[in-house]
Amino acid sequence: MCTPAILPVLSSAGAALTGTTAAAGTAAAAANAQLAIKGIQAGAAVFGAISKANEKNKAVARNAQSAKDAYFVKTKQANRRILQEQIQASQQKQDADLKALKAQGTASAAAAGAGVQGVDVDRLMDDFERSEGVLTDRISQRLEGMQQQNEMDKLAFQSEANNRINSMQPQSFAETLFNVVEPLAGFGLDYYDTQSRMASLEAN
Amino acid sequence: MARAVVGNPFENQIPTVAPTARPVDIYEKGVIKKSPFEALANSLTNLERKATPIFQAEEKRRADKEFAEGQELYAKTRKSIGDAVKAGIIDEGASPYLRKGYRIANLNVLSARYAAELNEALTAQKLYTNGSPEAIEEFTEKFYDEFQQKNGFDGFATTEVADYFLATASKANEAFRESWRTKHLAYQKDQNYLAFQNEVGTYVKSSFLETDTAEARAVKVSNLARWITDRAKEAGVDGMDMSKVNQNIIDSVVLSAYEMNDAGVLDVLDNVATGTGILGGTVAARKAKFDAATAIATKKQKDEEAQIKALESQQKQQIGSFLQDGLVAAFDARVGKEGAGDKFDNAIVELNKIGTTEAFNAAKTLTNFNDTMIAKGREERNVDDANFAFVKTQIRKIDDASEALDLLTDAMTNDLIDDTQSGTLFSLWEKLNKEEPPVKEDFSNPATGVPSVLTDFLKTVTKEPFDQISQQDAVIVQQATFEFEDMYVELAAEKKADKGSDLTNYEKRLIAREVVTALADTYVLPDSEDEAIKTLDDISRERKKRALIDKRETETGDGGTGTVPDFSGSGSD
Repeated sequence: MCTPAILPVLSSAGAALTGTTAAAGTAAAAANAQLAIKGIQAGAAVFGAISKANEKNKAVARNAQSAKDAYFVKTKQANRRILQEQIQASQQKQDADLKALKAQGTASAAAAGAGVQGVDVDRLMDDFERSEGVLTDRISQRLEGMQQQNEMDKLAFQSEANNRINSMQPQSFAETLFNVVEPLAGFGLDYYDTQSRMASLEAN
Repeated sequence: MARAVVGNPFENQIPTVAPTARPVDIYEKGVIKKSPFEALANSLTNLERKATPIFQAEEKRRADKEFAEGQELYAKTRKSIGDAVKAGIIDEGASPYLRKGYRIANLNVLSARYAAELNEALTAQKLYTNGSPEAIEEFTEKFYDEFQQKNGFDGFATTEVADYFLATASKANEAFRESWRTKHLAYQKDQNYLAFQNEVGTYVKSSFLETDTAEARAVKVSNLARWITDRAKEAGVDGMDMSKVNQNIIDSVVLSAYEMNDAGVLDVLDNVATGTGILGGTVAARKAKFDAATAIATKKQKDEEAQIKALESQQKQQIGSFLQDGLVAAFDARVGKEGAGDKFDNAIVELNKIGTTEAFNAAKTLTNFNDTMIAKGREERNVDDANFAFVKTQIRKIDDASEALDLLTDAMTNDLIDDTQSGTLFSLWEKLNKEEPPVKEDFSNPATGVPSVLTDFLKTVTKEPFDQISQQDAVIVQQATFEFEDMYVELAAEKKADKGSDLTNYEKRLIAREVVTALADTYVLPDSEDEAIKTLDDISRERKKRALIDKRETETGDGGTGTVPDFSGSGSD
């Protein structure tokens, strides 16, 4: 509905660009209208390209920040978990020491009560200590394994963050520049093409 | 109390170390850093998609334009590309499209010209008379090669020649062969019929004579018709179209009748037999006969009219010529030219010989004109005075009085003089002849000195020699002579009367000189007087010069030995 109404306006704008006057409804008027539309398209594309570049770069920054935040939180939680594991292992070691001491005390008391001394009691005591040592050693081994895994998890978190950051690349100035130049150059070509076609129609 | 048994609290309570390692993903996707040139390349790629068709369209437009310019340029110059470059019409570095357009236009013209010239050659060189297809083929190939050499085909690309010339040339060659074949067949047929027609025409023309009698002509007509009938049958046997054969016979006989200007020749057609009857009975023959007879009659009539017109024209020309002669003679007669009358009479006679009304009218007009001219001439030339002078001259020569009277009588009878003039002349005769010896003898007697005085006087009247004087001068001389004689007679009579005796020759000479002096103012030319004065001056100077020379020579001889002349006593002019 609006095409017939806007066509003369566009044709006038195109005529101003090409310097060609033509009655509405003629082929030249249509060409002028097309050129005007392409000019508007080029202007919109320029503004669109600039806006898109700005928005994209903002999104990239936000994405990077978010990836970094996630990496920080995950790493912190993993470290906290290891710390908790360390506390747990320490407590287990303390419990084992207490258990061994308690058993030694009980055994010593019993032996003393029975008047038993000698090598057997010493061996029993050593057995208690050895068992405690084995237990704490295993606790340490487990904790060490967890710490090693934690380090690996942090590497994974780092990789994940990098992937996330790299997933969105900022638009370079050159790309932005060319994205701006491209529609303008395209319109220049359209303008040149229209001018040439119009000129070719003119007598020498 | 029993002793407490102490066991190992860690018995069966020490856990094993479970594996805690698990794989983690540390893969990092490779990132390719975008180069500015990549963006540039992308933009250029996008632009190239758009620009390529635009520039192609522009290139095509410009190519079309330059191509058209080249074609237009050739249409203006009509020169080969080589000549155009040499002449500077096309630059050596000019657009290839322009050069191509120029060449293509040239080729298009050449292809059209080739077809036209080839077709013209068929007619101009009468190739259709040649019955050999091989010769035609050879001619075509030769024509093609010569055409290419003549028009500089080396300057064209092979593809151009193939695209823009060969197709047309091939069509032209084929059309040429087909045209040759068609025309040759038609030519052969025409030749056959023409030969038949010529043969019949030759026989018809050679058969009849203007001197033929009616009987001889009837026999000739019959024989000729029989021969033509036989020839027509033979032609039919040879496969010739009988309608055309009959038409050829009609045309031939009719043409012969035209050429001989004899409608009787057409009777032959009434005796030629065709398949169904008599040739002369056909509509075509009857129409041709009628037209020919009418045309011949008309032609004869026109010839006669032309002859009449020619005669009239000739008579008109003769009338004009004789009229002209008569007019000239009339003008001559007006001024009294000798022989003019004879010429005029001859013109009148010739006009009367022509005998036409126009000629008679011309003679009548000319006669009236001549009469008028004569009358006018008399007035202008004072014929009466001339007649009087003529008679006066004659009477001066007569010694006898009766002869003088006879002369005067004849002159009066012929209206040369009237009565008064007759009396005057006779009085003159008496003056000249009454003395004894007559006074007129003084004019012829050299002893008196009068003739020499008269002759010297007359020489001053005209510049021309006496034997070459013109008519006008002759009249003046005659008039001067008359006046001299008249005055001499009068003056001599007075002197004689005064003296009372005859005059001596010296006195006569003095009288003559006196008369000459009196007539000098009237007759002597001023130039003659001037020259006489000049001559006298010259003579005077010459005499003075000689006197001076004589004087110097005398003084030098008397002066002794001195070499220096003595001018003391001599005057100088």
